[in-house]
Amino acid sequence: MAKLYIFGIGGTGSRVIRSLTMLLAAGVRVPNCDKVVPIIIDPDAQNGDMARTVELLKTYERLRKQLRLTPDSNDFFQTEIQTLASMAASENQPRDARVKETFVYNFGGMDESYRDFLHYDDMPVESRLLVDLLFTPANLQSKLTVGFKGSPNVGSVVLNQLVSSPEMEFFANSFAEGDRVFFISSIFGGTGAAGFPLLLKNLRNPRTALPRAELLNHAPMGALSVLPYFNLLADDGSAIDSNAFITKTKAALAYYQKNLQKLNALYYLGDQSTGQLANHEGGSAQQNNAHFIELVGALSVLDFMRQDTDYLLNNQPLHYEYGLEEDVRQVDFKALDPGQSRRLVGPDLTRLQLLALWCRHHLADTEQATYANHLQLRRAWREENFYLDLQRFLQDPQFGFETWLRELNSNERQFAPFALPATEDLNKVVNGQFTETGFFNKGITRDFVRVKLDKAIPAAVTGAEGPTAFIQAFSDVLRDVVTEKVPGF
Amino acid sequence: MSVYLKGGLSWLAASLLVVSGCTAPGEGQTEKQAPTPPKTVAATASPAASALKQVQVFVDVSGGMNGFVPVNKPGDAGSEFQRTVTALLSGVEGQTGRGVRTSYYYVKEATAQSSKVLQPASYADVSQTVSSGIRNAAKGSDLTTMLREVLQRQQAQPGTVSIIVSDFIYAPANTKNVWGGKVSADVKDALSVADPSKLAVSVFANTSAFRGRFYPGRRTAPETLTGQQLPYYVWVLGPAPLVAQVNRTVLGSLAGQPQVHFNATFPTPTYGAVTGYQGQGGWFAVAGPPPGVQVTAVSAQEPVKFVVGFDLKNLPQPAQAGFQTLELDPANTDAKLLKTWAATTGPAVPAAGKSYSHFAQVQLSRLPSSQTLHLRLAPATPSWVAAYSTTDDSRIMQQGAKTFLLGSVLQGVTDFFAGQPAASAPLFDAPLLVKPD
Amino acid sequence: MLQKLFTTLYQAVLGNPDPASLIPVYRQSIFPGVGLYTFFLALALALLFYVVLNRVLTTPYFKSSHWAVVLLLSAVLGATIAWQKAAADINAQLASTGQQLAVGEAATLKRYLWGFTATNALVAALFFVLLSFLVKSLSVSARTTPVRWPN
Repeated sequence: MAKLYIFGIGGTGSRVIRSLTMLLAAGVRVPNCDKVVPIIIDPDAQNGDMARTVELLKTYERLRKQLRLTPDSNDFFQTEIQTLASMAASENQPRDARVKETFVYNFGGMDESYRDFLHYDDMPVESRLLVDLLFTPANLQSKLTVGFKGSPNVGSVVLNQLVSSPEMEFFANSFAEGDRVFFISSIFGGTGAAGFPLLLKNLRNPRTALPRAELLNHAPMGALSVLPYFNLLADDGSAIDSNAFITKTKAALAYYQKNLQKLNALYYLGDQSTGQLANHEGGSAQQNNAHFIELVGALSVLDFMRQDTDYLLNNQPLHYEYGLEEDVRQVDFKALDPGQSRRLVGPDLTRLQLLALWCRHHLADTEQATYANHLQLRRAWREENFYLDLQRFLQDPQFGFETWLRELNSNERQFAPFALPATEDLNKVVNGQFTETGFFNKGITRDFVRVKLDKAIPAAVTGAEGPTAFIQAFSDVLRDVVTEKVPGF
Repeated sequence: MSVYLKGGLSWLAASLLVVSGCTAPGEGQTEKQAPTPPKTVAATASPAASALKQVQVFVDVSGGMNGFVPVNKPGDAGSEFQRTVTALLSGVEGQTGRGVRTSYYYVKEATAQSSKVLQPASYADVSQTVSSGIRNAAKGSDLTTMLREVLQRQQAQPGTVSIIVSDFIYAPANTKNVWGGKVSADVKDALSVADPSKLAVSVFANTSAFRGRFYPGRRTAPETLTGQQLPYYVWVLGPAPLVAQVNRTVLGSLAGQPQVHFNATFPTPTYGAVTGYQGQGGWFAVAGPPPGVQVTAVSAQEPVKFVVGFDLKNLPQPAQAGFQTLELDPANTDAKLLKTWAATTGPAVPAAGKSYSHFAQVQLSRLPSSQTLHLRLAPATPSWVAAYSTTDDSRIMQQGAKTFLLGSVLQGVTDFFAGQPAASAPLFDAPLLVKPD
Repeated sequence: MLQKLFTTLYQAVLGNPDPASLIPVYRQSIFPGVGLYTFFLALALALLFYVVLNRVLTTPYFKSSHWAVVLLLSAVLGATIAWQKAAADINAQLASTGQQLAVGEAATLKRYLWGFTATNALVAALFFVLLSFLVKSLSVSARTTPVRWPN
């Protein structure tokens, strides 16, 4: 039961985890792992991106808890996603009341200023002078509730408290042989740039106070550092200036070169940005549209997991970058490299899109079909928690799958694998890969899929088994549909 | 409403329109198809034709018979006797084609030389005699001796039927033995040569013009007649079924004549309830066996009436004529016979009843359970015997066609068969099963 | 035995046939004949709906409303069969026996026939419903039409 612990640090971390969750929902297999434990580290408790991602993760977790899927298959929601706290239940560890049942590291609501955090007024003079050297007055005055606003120097001090927290202790306790750790952060932001090296240093410290230090010291660990890929509109009132992103990147990279020790794999991703997002310092307004880079970031997690442990441990550090097959502003599946990425995500994402289309356009009209009757869908779709959660997962205007696709589609490097807005025509789903139809072959019709579903669920399913049957049936049927009818994969 | 439901409803409406246009059966029939014969109960098996092996014909050639066989000029009609007997002889001879032996005899008196009264002859000879007159007429013939010898000859060969043509005037030499009871006893004795259970006798009476000397049975002076009608008789003796067969086939021309049949049994005629003929109420015919009627609703207010048809063609004509004496045994119901009629005299008969010759209408108003009614026809007592019989035929020209002591002679035959079941049995007993639905 | 079964069935609803002289035709020929044809009609329609339309072929006709259309069709065809066969048999019988019906009898005959037609429409529908339950487990897409039980 190998686990993958993902530390998603800052806004970028949340957004990459969001894309990764979508891929896991599509059924993409994560090699060498059954469970993913995301831990989001963001002092900005109100961060819009984080809130979205957390809602998504909670929905996924709820959904997954109701499913009893066969291991090693690739049904929707195959991989388990759990909070750190709920590891207790599955590992038969004693629950730690201090560890909250959440995906987010609880910073305890820091609403003091940085100055008070440092206990500036209690410092000796020498220390105060050092502090004045390192930090601007603006830094010292700023409230920490919204993160570090693009100042890694602030972040690197504040995040030290992380290491001695009960969460980290709990994490170390539940860490087992074969588990891996992955860090996701942006190199140009505030929280991410600071937190990632800090955490890594502490986990790899042989003299760390954390339990199971041996295991932690020698476990495979990877990281994703996202280089700038967007600009912010200039706003004098904001502490964040995207013009400084590059400068900060260079500074961080210089630090990494010398001081990142014992990291097994490092993934760099970035893109030349032309888009400009609204300048929000933080809080709920910091809610950027999903970007293709984040999806590629999720791919880096998968790639990390794909490597053998021995390979990772004996060849450090490994550095990876990513290249598209074609440098197009509108990326579809054909623009992805056929050897790896297209094969990895294309069919499964298409499958998930078909599921979303079915649920939105075709499910209501097939409520009397055999499969629906066997699952009692007419009632369950509107009443049972599982199906309501599924609808939320797919259709929620904040964090849903359809929204995610729309955001990707409208961003600067557009990711548009699917024809949007989506219609009920199931033959026209994947851009550039429409299903052929002819006189005798109508392609993917509602009846075609319905009959397959009827065959997949031939007998009535009792209440508790319903969700599992639903997911397994749809996974199998839509996989067959994609294999048989969608060309180009 | 979904498009499918709408389509289905308009289709239903169209179908109802079509269906309502269909005509019901029983109305608007413009032509009747050829009726097929309905099923009725098969009659009991008719006697095997092959059982008839021999027919013997005995013609009385005593002097008194000569008056029946005048000489005819070419083109003359001939006497009734000649016509009938010639046809009879021809009919008998025609049986040889079916493998039946035929033999012919003259009946003459016993003489000192031979006590036998039967003289074998050929067909041609007998036919010639009938045609042109008796040569060497016998003085007289003794009725009882004749009967005795005929029966003896008959016993010798099973499957034999004997036909006797004679005036059957009983005139023994000893006139003291010619009183009623003695005559019957003598005739009965003569017949006692045979076993009554295996014998049946049919007597047909006919009259013919008589020209010549008539010798009365009373042994008074002969009279000369010039064409007055006198009776003569054809007796048929043999096993009952063969006698019936011969009556039907050879003596068909005498079917309408006065006749009497002794110890004759007839197969139960074909019969059954006739659908759609003079019926009323809730019932329907059931084929059986036995044929019957199933009643669905019967009450005193709505009684059930049904008609039973009979095919009587195998019964002798007097029996058919006497059909109105049909009796109904109601068993445990209140069935009663309303009326009877023959096919030719009653209302038009539908195809279902085409095979029947006579009909009887029955009414019923109470039927507690399945019951078997019986319809029986008693044999008709022939009334003609008394008319044809006389005790004094000395003045035959005034009396007309009568035979001396015919009644006593036939009484003797009756006495001979008195113990037989046929003597008291009905001509047929047709059970009819009536059951509630 | 079949004769008795169908006779009992129809007479339970309609009573004894009217006029009584035609009772043998009804009991021996019409009731069993029509009953059997109706049964096979219902079976054929059930197989058409459940097996042909919803297993062998892929059609969108799996809903309860479609089933209801076929039910209606079975009733209509059942009525047609009843009328045609009964009229034909009775006409043949009347022709072969040369029986003429009285005026009153002809009216009662027609009335009984209409009743028989209507009854057979119901019988056909009933057979279709019963056979639906037997046959529906053979179906793929209509296994749960019109109700889920017993699948």
